[in-house]
Amino acid sequence: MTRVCWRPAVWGALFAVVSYYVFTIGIVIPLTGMFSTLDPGVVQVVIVAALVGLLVSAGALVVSLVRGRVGLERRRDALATVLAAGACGWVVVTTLTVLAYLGVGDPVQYATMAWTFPLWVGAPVVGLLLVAPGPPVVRANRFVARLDRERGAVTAEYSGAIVIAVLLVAALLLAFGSGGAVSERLKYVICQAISFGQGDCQAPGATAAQVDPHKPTVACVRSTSADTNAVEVGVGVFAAKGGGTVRVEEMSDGTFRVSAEGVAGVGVTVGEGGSATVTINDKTYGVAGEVSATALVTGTGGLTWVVDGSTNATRLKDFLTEKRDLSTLGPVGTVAGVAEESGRAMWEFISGDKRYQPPAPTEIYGEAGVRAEAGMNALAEPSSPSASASASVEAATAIGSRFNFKTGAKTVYYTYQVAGEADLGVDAGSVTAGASASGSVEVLLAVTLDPDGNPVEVTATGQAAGDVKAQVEGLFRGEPVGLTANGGRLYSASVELTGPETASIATDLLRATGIVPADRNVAQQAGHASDALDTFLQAARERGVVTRQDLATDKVTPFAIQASGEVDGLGLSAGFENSTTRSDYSNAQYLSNGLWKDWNEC
Amino acid sequence: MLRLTTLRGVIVAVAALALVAGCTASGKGTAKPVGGVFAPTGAPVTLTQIQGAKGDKLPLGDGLSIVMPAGSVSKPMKSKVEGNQFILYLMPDADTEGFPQFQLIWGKSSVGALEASWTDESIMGVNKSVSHYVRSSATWPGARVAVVATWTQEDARDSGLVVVDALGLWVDMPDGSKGFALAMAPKGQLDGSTALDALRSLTIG
Repeated sequence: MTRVCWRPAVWGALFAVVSYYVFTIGIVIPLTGMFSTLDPGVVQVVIVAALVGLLVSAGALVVSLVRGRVGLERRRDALATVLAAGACGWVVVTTLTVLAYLGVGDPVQYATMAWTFPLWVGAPVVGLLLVAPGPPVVRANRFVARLDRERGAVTAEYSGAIVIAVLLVAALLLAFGSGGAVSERLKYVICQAISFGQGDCQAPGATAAQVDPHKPTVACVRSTSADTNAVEVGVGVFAAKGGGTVRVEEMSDGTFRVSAEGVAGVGVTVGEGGSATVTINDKTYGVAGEVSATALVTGTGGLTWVVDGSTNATRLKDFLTEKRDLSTLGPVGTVAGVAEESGRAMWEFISGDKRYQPPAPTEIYGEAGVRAEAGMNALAEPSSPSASASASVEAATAIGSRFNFKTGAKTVYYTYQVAGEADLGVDAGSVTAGASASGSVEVLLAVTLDPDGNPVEVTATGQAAGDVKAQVEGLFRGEPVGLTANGGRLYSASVELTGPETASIATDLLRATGIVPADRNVAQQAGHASDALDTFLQAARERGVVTRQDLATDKVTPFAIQASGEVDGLGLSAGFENSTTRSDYSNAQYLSNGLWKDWNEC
Repeated sequence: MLRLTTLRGVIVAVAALALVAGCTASGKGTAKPVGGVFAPTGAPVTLTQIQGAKGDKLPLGDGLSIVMPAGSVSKPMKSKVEGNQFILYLMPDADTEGFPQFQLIWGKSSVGALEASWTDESIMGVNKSVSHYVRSSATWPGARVAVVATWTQEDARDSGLVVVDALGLWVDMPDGSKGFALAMAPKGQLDGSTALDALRSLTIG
């Protein structure tokens, strides 16, 4: 029989719709909190499997009804009815969902809902296999038999369907419009359900992708590279033979950071109001009228320009590279430089072309070098009678700073070492199995201060690589990853000090690591330091931004953050990479309510 | 700060006196002017090297040597940077907190004295326990570039608030390596201290 038996189809569709909402609203929503702690892939599999199971059951019910009513000679005789039931169920759920979306003013995900149609009509077909063909059996199943009675059936069925539909729409509108946690969970669950776990669903606590407070708003470094033999357009680091380095880093927002380190003859003058000019071989660019002495630069410190687009980056890079190469030549280069300037002036006169004028630099930065490790608290032997309690703290080491001419903000970079698993300050369950107790985690702390010197943001960066990958993953709540000697995963956690609580937490960390003076009993600092780091990272997970990026370099040696400021293979927001190797960043993600989400803009 | 100002005055005065007496260091002094973005902002000073200082002359390798008074205790420190040498000296007259104290760290580094000292000034500028930080260009026999900084620093310890005066000397050496020497003494006692004398005995080459 190939025609549709509408009564079994309607009952099957109704069963599918009701069981669908019972499952999503009655079971999944209460368990959303638990789901958020699980792997998103596992959650999707569970939801899809359950829904498919319900649809298969609905299909089996339809087949059973058909068999009981008219008999089933062959399974395919009930195929049309099963397909009709699935299609009807999909139409009802889709209609209710659209009404719910329209009711709360959210955009309707038509494409996602259309994608689920094959599952709604396909899964019930499996139910055909669960019911054996046979003659009509009126009382084979009392419930099924009752459903098949004719008396008063139409009124009851349509009335019931209408009541259920009204209740469902009302419930959806109420839940969506409440704006509370239920609403958030409902949106998340329905999104998961209607998309069978494949949609871009926003987890509870994040109302929309654009306003997810955990989503990074700053650009990330996509790649850096080093090539002393070939000049590449766009991205490249060009190590000079004694003449400095010109680095170009590609950012995810389309800008490029061009840095000149140790390029002789390149200096900068800060004028009134923080404006900056750049002086190259005694010629001043940027703001007119500024005059600066030529810097005697040996490295490692330099200037950074932030420019839009690869064309501007390439012009600036070529300009700086040319100056560097000329200065590298010594007296010959000076002569060549004068000739080059003269030639350009002549060409400008003849052609009318404007000579390239580099813009004013954006930032200046420097590293502490060997100075980093010396200081008032260098004596780190608690047993020594002359050693202080604070000296026993693994205090942070200042390794560099960066100043932004435009904003007046200053960022100071520190390294802070957490030695041994026991000192990580994280619960054992969060530490990935196989963690090495002998390893020590080097955390890079970046403290950004406003022009008045007040801390406004603190960022902790750690690298999961080598022997310490498990510890770093434990600290940042990462997941185990297969790493090679020249690969790793970079974790970053930042907290803006906009509220009293976050400010207190961050300040506590800075005090515990000796970055700012402590007002507590310093004898307690050692035990407090690791706790403060864990508390800070917890605050970053809850109220800040936590990101991770896989990275690979062509350098074989494992990465290490050293007190010199050299950070092999790490971009560190273009801060202190002193590597001449290529680094590629990939798989950028950010942590939102316990779930790692793709950071598509990165 | 008055004491540091006095100290700087003494340094300049000693240098002037030595010049008049014709007993300035005969080494390859670095009178090269420095300028530009990383240039020290303080007035140039001349920190004189002590020739023939009393004590034990200690060769440190890489052409460096210092003279330490008898009774000094050296504590080799573990540097995080491979190849760098870091030694902390407790002077014979050190108090229970370890001051006067002299630290010396040297090795290969890509960071020059100007950039390193600029960075230090920047970092110390945000450290609320540091005051009166002044960074000046200087000369030092055998060094290609030398920079001196003085400051006062506080540290809260179990025994109470410890306040020290400090003088740091950055040097770029001819072979490309870099060095940093740090002398610290209780506030007001750095001038003429055994730690500062040890620093001034530093010899390159």
